[in-house]
Amino acid sequence: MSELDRRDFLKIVGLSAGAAAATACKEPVEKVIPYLNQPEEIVPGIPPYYASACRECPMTCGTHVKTREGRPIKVDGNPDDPISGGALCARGQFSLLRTYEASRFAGPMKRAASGELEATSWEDAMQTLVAKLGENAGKVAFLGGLDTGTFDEIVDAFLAAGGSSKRVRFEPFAYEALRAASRSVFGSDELPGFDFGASDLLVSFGADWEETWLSPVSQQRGYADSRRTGQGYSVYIGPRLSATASAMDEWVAPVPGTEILVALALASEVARSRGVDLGNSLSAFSATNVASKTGVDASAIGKLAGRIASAKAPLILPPGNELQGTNATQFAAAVLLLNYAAGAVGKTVRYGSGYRLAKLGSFSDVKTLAGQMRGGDVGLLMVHGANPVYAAPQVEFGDAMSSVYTVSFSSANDETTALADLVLPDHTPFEAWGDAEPVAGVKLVQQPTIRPLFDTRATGDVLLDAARELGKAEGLPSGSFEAAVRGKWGAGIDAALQKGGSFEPVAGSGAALAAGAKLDFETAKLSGDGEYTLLVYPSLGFYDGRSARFAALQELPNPVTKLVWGSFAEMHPETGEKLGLELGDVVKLTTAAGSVEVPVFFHETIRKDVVALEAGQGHMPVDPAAPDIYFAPSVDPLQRRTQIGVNAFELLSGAVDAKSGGLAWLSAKVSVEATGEHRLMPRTQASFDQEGRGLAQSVPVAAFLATEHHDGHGHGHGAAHGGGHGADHGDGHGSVRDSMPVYGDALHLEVKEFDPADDARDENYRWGMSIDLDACGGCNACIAACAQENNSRAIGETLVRQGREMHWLRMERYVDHRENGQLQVHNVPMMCQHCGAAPCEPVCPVYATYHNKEGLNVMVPNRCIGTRYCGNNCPYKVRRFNYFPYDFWIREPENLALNPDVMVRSKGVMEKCTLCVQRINAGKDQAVLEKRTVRDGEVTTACAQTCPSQAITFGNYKERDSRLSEHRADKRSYVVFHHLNTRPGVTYLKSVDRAESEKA
Amino acid sequence: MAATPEQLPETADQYNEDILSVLRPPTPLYVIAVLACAGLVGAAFAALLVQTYWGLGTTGLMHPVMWGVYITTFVFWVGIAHAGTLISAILFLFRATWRNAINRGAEAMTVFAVITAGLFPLIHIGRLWKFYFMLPYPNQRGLWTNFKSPLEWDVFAVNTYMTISILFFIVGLIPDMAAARDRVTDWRRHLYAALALGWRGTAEQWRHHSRAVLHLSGLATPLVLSVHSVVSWDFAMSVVPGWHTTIFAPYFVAGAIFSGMAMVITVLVPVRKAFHLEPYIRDVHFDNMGKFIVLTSTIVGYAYGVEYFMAWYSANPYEQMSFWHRAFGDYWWATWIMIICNVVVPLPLWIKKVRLHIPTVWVMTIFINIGMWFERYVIITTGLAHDYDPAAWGYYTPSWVEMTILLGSFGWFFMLFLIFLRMFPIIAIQEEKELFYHRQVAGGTH
Repeated sequence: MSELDRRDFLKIVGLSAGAAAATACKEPVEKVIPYLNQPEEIVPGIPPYYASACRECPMTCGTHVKTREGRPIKVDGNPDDPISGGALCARGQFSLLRTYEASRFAGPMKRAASGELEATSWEDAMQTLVAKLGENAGKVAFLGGLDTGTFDEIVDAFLAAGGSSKRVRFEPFAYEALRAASRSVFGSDELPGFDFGASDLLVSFGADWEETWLSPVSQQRGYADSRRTGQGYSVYIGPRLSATASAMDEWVAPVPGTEILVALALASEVARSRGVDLGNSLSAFSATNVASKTGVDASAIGKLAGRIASAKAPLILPPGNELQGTNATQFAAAVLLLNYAAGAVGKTVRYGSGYRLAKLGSFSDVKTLAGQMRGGDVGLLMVHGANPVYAAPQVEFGDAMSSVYTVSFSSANDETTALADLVLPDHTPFEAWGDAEPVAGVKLVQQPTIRPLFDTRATGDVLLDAARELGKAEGLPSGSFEAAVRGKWGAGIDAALQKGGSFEPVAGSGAALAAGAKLDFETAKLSGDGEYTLLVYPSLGFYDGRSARFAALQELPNPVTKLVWGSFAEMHPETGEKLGLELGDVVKLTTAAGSVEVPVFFHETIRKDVVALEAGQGHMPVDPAAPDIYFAPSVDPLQRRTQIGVNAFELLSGAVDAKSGGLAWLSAKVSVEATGEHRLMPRTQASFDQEGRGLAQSVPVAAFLATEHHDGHGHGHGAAHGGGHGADHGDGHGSVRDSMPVYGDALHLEVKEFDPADDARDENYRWGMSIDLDACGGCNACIAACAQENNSRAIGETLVRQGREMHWLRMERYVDHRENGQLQVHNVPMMCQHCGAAPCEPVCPVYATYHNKEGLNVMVPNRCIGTRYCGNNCPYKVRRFNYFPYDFWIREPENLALNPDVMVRSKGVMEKCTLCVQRINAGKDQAVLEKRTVRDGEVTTACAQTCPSQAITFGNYKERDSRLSEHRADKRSYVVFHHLNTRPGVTYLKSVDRAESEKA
Repeated sequence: MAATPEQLPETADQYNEDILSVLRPPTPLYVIAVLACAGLVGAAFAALLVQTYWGLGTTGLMHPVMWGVYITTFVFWVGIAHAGTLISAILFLFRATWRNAINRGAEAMTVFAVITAGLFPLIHIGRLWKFYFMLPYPNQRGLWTNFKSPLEWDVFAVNTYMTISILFFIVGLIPDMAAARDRVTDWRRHLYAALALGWRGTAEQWRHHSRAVLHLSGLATPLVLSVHSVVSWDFAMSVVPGWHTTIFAPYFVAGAIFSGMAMVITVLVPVRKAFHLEPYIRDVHFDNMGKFIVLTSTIVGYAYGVEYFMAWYSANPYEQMSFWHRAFGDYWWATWIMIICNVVVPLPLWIKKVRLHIPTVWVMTIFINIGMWFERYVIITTGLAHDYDPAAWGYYTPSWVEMTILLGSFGWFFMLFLIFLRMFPIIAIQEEKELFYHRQVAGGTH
């Protein structure tokens, strides 16, 4: 037996150590390579911004795209653009999701012999396309959305070169009736521009101008601007107190379908009192005559007519989609007449400045197209940016598609594309060139900010190449699509790219009544034999359904119900009681067109004879093959594999407004029948009653105006409760307080005055925020911006139902009852209040949350061990805990959207609003370089940046003349739960209750 | 006194014989019981693995109820741990001789309960593997713990209590270990020899031993009050309506003694039966413990009443609504279980006959244990579920993971206790003998 000598021993040791080290190398090696030849404009860590355009809805806001190391991570509005004005809506904030979607088409697809769509090469796909174009010469139809700019021209030229003119521009929100009414009343095919900013009285007939109607962003800004000093008054007329209505002062709910009578009565009264000749006799529609039919008091109509007649610049909005019935054109005409009678035309309603929708087709055009497809007039259908199979189920478009060859240009799968024969995926807007002119004089250029992630091609290039291949390219530009876009701008392209386009909006002008326009008026026809009226309303989050595929938007709470991930039948609690239903009971809604099964939700802000259903849900599963490696017990992350909710369009019979060809949304009676099934509801708000706790406070307009010019000092919050009356009305229906022996008032508990500036040791900064509840309309844009900026995760229905949603900011909706019986709805954005004496800080055993010297309540997730005491002790309940390893659920390429300045949190740690500390630090870095302090307005948070009504102001309390300090000194200012002495750094400004003076 | 000399052993050696009889080989029933408990522990460990791997989402915890079964169970076991020290230390100082027969069992219970309780803060936190962040030790990260946090106070309170109870237990065991050492011949001899610390029974050793017990009693006595006071401050120091009250410290201490006494009875009744310890654990013990239960039940019931009164009298609508929700809201069932078990069920114990009817008392104590668990559950969940912001109200339901770990904690406790029963004398032999000699000196006939 030989002895082991020293050399052998060392050999063995070395070998085994090497083997151990080798087995440890399981992770693939990732190389971190610095820029060797650094592009001039890229400094790692400093984000370049590019001006571009948002294509989430046809109205096209100008944007600034923030990129980091070659990938866009955040979109802001372009302040130069008169439409966005620097803000974006929630959908705009989430527009990046379309690019970073894991289930996009990786390349062209072709229907194989097996009947499945299979991947193919671009050569093969183009050959197929050219061959099919050759076969179907003259029988090519192009179905698109509202396209303006170069792409629009190329499509027209392409069709013309191919000898075909069948082009339908289909948008589910096409405002057909308004265009038709405009034609009949004023003889104009264009939409008028509606100047919210110039109006002092806004009346909306069911137009959800804050959610989807036309351009919510610019409208919200204008509306808020017109009301900054307590001015203005607004009335919402419709069966449901929607998010839009919650931003308005008064809610009038006529019998559904008879709203037109209210408009006519108003027009008649206003015309009479102002002595305007409307060319039509409306005397049959006096207030007293319509009162019984509409259920609205003659005196109420008279009072509103008086308001309109005496307003300097009233603006009456024509019916929105949800009130678009079989009489839609007449209804819109009645409202236009009312505007004319009120003298608004030329002041707030101006022709020439409106959205350019004249070329837009109608619902009926899609019907016609389907007929042509069935009849053989169309042999090849090209679909780009439209999804008729989903949005027009009554047309049975999918059936019509079976008789033609269909080419889809969709970048991701949808109902129409799933039935297509050839898929030539387009770039997403962040990868593509483009331009648009949504409003006369406002020209936007859209530039790519990332190299295409997948093997996609710009549809403009595909059309150009195909035309050249066919030899039918006359009238088409010679270069690439990009060159065509650049060519259109000529020498001005560089300036346009820097600025985002050219912005020279036209002012527009008035219009005269079209001669001899004799109009007749009738109420909307409701068909079916149900007991209730079905109200299908457009969705804030999904628009017409195009955005429903994104988890982040599914998890953006519905602004009224605060429910997520599904369809819910919304009805009045008394209706539910009558039907013996409980929250979450699944009901079968049946109309003449079909039936769906959905859980019920009760809310008192809806008429008792109406059942409301959100449009835009019920899509095919986005990603049936989504991997479930992220499976956690009983959790289906993001539910990509199943259908979410139901398609409300399927309940509509397809009845149209005969005059405009628009789909009649308000046309169905519905019956409600319990199924016996019960579901737990994915709620994000438990109670809509603030129980007199003063979260949302308001001041009567009379009191506000009376003290308007007084010194704003000594704003004793405790003493100002003449003004805090809004909260005193927490005696409403369904209140817990009703059923319990409560005495004492939360608002009269003792409070200590404080100055937030004292809560920071730093000599220069005490960061904070103010939120003007008078401006806030509850549109959720802030939530979206926050999630996008701070890498917040959508976590799926199951987890939301369990109460684990991760938004750092929530939009609370509270319903108070005024003394006159009217409902007063408040929207309260609630996020970390960055308290000077924060209850969360002393209870953390490990200093994971602490007060920094600039007054921020800092959260350090890496220090956190997850005792969750801070979350319990936060009176505002704004801390969010990572119950699952959500960071593991991020799929490529979704990870590219993450903001590298904000850490991605993992399981077991707490997180919350940081007041965008990464932005504060970037601003401070810049200030230090320039040897100064941060200026007011230089740094802002994501939520404040995107707020269309500029309700949120970020700033520094130590700077005594900052806007924030001014707000703090405003007599409307208050802090939530003042008596707890938490010394919040977030100051709220009371809303001004303009309807309160109406009680007399 | 119900203690009748006829029942007592005739000779001092008889004590050793009777009490150390538990050291004989175990019966199959005992083995099955230990294995069943071990099974529960295993299941709980598996549940903990699931929770650690996936995250706390596997529990029912949610926004706004971020504390639930784990903290409830933590407070429950800390409460259970109180009776032992009360019986051993405080009654020792008060020279209540009846405690001698039950103090060993109660002390063992204390040690095991506090060991069980100590696990729960760790199970409860989001990142179990970072628990050491809570310990103040010099480190290169330059981080320190926050001594303002009641949770940090807990770390010290519970650890101190655990240290003292274990010391007290081990010191008390020394003479008995020597007795056991002298009796057994197998491997346990080494264990007992080690624990006996070279005990020879000399006068010097006895003197030191009795001094040590006295001093440790002195140290442990304030802990009985402080530990549960500190635990109660986990709640009382917060701003949550229903938590933020000054009554919590005495209320929790009374509750702890209440539940601890109940658990002592729950455990001792079957042990007495199984090991034929009737001559030692006599009616007087149950009578006295019953009195304790009646007293503490009354204090607890009074505290419940005061909480409601103060909520009403404060004119603070948050408090009022929190308590309204507690009694009539989503958690009404838990609240009424608590009130019935803790206030109504013990009422018959005012009657001596009931106190002496062991089966009735035993059933009552089980209800009290349930009621006291629910007391903590009610305080924690109802307070959090309906606090300041109505938009953020919620309802919490425990998940299978939490319930498995809860059951596992009982398995763990009883497993340790069962092992203790077979390994150590359940009754302090030397103290019983001391009483025996005292009685003889006092002129007994034996």
